[in-house]
Amino acid sequence: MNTTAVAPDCQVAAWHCTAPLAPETRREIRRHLELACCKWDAQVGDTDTLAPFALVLPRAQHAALAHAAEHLAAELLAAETELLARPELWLALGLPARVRRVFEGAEPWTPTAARVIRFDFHPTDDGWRISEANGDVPGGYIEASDFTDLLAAQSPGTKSTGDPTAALVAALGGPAGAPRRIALLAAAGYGSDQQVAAHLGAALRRRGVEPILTRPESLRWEGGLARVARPHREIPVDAIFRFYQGEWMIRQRRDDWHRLFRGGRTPVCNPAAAVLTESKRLPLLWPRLDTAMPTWREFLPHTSAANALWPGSHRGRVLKAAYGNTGESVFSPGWSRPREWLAARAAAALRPGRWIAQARFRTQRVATPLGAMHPCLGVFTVNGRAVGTYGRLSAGPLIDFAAIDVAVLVAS
Amino acid sequence: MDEKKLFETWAPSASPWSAWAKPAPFAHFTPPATPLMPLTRAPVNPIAITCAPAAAERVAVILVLSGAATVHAALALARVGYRPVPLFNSCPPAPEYGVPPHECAVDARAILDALAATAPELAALSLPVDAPPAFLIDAARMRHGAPVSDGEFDNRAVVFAADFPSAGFLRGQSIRGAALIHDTAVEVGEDLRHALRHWPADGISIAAMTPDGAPREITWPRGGFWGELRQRWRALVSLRRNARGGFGDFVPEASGG
Repeated sequence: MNTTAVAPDCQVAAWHCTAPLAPETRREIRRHLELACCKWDAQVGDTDTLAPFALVLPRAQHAALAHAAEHLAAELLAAETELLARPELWLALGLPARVRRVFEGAEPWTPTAARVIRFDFHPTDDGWRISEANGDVPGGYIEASDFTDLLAAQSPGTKSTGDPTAALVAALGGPAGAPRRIALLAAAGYGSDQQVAAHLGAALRRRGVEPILTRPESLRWEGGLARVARPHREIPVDAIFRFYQGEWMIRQRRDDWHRLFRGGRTPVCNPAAAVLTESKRLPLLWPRLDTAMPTWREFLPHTSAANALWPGSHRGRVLKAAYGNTGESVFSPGWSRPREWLAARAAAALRPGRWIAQARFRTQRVATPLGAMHPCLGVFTVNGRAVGTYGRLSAGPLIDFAAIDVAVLVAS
Repeated sequence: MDEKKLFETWAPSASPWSAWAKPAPFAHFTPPATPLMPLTRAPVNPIAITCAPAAAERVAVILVLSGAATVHAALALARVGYRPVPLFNSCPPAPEYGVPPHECAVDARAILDALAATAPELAALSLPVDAPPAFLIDAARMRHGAPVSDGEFDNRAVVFAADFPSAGFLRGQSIRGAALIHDTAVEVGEDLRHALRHWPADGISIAAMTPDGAPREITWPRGGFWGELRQRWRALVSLRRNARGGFGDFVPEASGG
């Protein structure tokens, strides 16, 4: 892929929402997702997070986004290849020291089982922008797959934008019918993470692959091959899906977690390189990379170092922690409380290597049955191919854990 | 009874509280007619809840007992007019894993079996739509801090503020206050104190007590940005210091972005 994607005009006026579902249909869909598809966090506080309508884009508009996502993925994968060979750049990414030390080991990189990324696109007055790439542990499979399918079935004249679950499972599972066993790692105690592992596990099982839901502490390694510890036995696995952030690994008591990244022979999704490029400080390295990033330069707002504390610094910008992926570590005078903004500025000034400042963009709003809302379209790529879209809507400009999920469809 | 009917019994569509019922354990329900593992657990000793206000007083109950005892006590509350709302987040392992209950960090199967066993009686009670809620939480959801050994099925769970309705919603349903009825032998978990701390600040006072009505002291954590920050820092440090065997306590955010 050697051409850049031109940032397509957002054409928000050409989008529309389907009519709200009848209450009974809405309940049925939610129940089905909860009991059959492992959607266990449909209620967040007082909010039902499943929008009772779908967002419909013109087919060409969505195709342009998918095209852009594939370009972004191609450039990111090329940058990862270069970064893996250039350890002198890792410090600038803000990578925790213990992870960096593991990455600096001499053992070969652990092979890749599949590479899944989600690019979050926002429509702005200046065209589409991405806030970041969720390249380490992107979520939203249930919503972008089953939920979207269910809404498409309720919306004549539309079709789904894809099925990231099916695409990922196909990539992880290998040829249909091949006997395989895959470990799915997720943090204990967190339903929102466990549900992703359970959902993908069920899809793997339907494909004939045996899923083993576990936590990182239960992995054992022998000769570079992974096993899952169970009482009185260890079960060998053919691949590992990691729904557990790379930078969290340093909290493990055991020290053999490094084989997820180096020295392992069991393929892992996502691989070590994902931890490098998950850093929001990656754009600061662009001038030092041989890899050209033209599509990223086009879609990502201007990003700079965050080391100024005085009032007025960072005007028109947001502050982001280098690692953090649910919007909780994104600060702006536009939505943060004054003392939070001050604290973020102080933290960035004290540890500038762990933060970035990014030009703030104004997202356009789209008319919905719930009023005008800010949309965010997360396009999944699996092994470089666009495979589906995770839609979210937020009343405010920040898309965070309080946003609601919306099925993204295209006119058929 | 399949998982859909079981969940509908505990979270009927007509109840305003059903939106908060946690589906995770129900999604793992398999009819007990075909048990896949021997059940050798001891019978549940019913705990009498003598302190719950009358339902007409419009008080929300948060009932926190250990394991299946929570379900049986909830049924007693239902008999006097409360709508039980299961907030159990721990899941039993899938049957095909063949993991017996004693190899699970939390015996979620016992809770699920109790939910199934008591469902017919709950359904027969025909509770009014506006029955006040009794939110059900397992006091052993984090196994009281005991470490999880290697190979154990780790199904510990924590509760968050987002697992509950807001004080504003409660007031909208004419709820005037709350009673936290908590297992006598167990400390009130830090996750629960954080989850509920907004209610008193927003006008829903919480009286904490033991099942027999003895008052319990409860300290609400500091709120605000700095309070959250402090809590997260403490959790991160304590998880490493106490070596609980991986986390499942507080972390700043879920993995998935």
